[in-house]
Amino acid sequence: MLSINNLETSYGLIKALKGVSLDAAEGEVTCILGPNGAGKTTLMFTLSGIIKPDAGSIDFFGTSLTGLAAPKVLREGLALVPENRLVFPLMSVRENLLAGAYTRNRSDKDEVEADIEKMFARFPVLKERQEQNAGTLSGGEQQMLALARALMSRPKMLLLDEPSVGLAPVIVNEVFAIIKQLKEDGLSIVLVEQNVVKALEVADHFYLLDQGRVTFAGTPGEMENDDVIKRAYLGGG
Amino acid sequence: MSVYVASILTNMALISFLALSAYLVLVVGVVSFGQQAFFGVGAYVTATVTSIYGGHAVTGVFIGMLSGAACALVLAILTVRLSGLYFAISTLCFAELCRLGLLQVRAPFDIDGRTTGPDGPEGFSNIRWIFEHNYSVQDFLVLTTVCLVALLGLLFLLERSRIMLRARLVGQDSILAQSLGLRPILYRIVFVTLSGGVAGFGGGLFALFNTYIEPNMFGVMLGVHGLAYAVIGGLGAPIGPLIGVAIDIGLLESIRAISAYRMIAFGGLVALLLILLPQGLISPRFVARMRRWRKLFHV
Repeated sequence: MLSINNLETSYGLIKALKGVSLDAAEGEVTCILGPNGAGKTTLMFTLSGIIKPDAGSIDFFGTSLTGLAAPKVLREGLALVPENRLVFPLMSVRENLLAGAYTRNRSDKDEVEADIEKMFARFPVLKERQEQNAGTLSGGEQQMLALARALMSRPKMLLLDEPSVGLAPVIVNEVFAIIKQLKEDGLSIVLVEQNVVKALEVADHFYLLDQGRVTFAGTPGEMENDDVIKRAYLGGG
Repeated sequence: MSVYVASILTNMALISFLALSAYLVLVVGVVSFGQQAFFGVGAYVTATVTSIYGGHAVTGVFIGMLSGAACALVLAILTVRLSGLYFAISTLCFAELCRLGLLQVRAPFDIDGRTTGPDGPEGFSNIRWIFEHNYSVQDFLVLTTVCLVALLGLLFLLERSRIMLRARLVGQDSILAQSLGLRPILYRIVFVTLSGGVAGFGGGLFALFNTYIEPNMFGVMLGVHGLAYAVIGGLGAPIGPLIGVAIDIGLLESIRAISAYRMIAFGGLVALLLILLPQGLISPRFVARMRRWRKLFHV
């Protein structure tokens, strides 16, 4: 499980995270909501080691990830699917998947191949297009590829940064169906979303992030009954 | 082969080293306007080793290459946190710093009745290794070509390796590369250092061939040309920058009728290519397509 305590991250003088604490339990989907600029992506980058925190701690299955560089975080089993930068467009679908296995490639080639076949079974459209340049895939297919590529590192927990952004509603449904499936397979997921209605379908726990602070934490039921959230995210009063 | 043709071809081969060094930096996703500094450092160090200390040309060029790489390593470490435009500006400043620094170095030596050694703006004259060892222009062309082909061979090997593949991932999207567990900083330091070595090597050969060098030869325009060759040639394969060189020097400068208009023609060509083929002639996309065709062909 992932446990974050009083995490602070800044860009120069601007503090983006002002003491964020949250827990993500094993086998659950933990959803982080928040408006633009709340610090959601900063939190994802800090967790995955792309940015270093100023203070606070990150604990992952008993190991401290605080201040670790990205490759080490990934080796510990925490993988990020960043928002909006889904694939390497000039590389084929297969090469993109192989890039996801970067941390393990050398020793177990056969297993990597087997995993690629597993991904093709889960995402049939990727199998059809395995030799195609990833840049020629549709937005939804690219999101699938990004998910599959992150899974290639065999993570214990997946960080998904707004997987539904910029996708057509039908495709959003597909993406969430996959998230549900991954959860059923026992994968722990931290999901950053703005689409609260869809998030309610899969999430076990919600956190609301606003201006670098956690302003709400609770179950889906508690969230649906919270007046502020109802007004801001679910519409109506 | 006439001396004229041989010297043009040698110059093309020499500037190719600079273009390839610019290519190596572009691969990891940053732009350098300072490769001429490593070229110049390589030239000065090679000249010093051969003319003042009486070293062999091979020793000289080798130490020149190491010096270029060392300078590049220093620059890469100093600029490790800079991105895009800021990196480009700092490379330019670094190169100008080197050039202006060399203008201040005055240490002329008198060797066998001839003045040699760096002498500020007067330059470094009497780099006589190729005269003393009876190399003709044609011989030197062969030597330079062999070195260039060897370098291309190494680069093609590198191109097939995982290192290059990962460097290209870093160059395409460094955040995404990090999320896959790569260290963009490491790749940048390694590739900028390699580029310094390649430029330093070319600079060393340049000093031997030219027999006279001065700091102002290694100004911004030299670097801009090297960069332009890499950009119009494309980032798909190391052969790209050489095509850039061939177009500019081979075509434009060598045809005497138009050589006076070379800069205008070349500038126009660069502008046109950037509009029509922003990825260059041998773009990664082109290479990917070729590979796919070749695969189809085999199947």
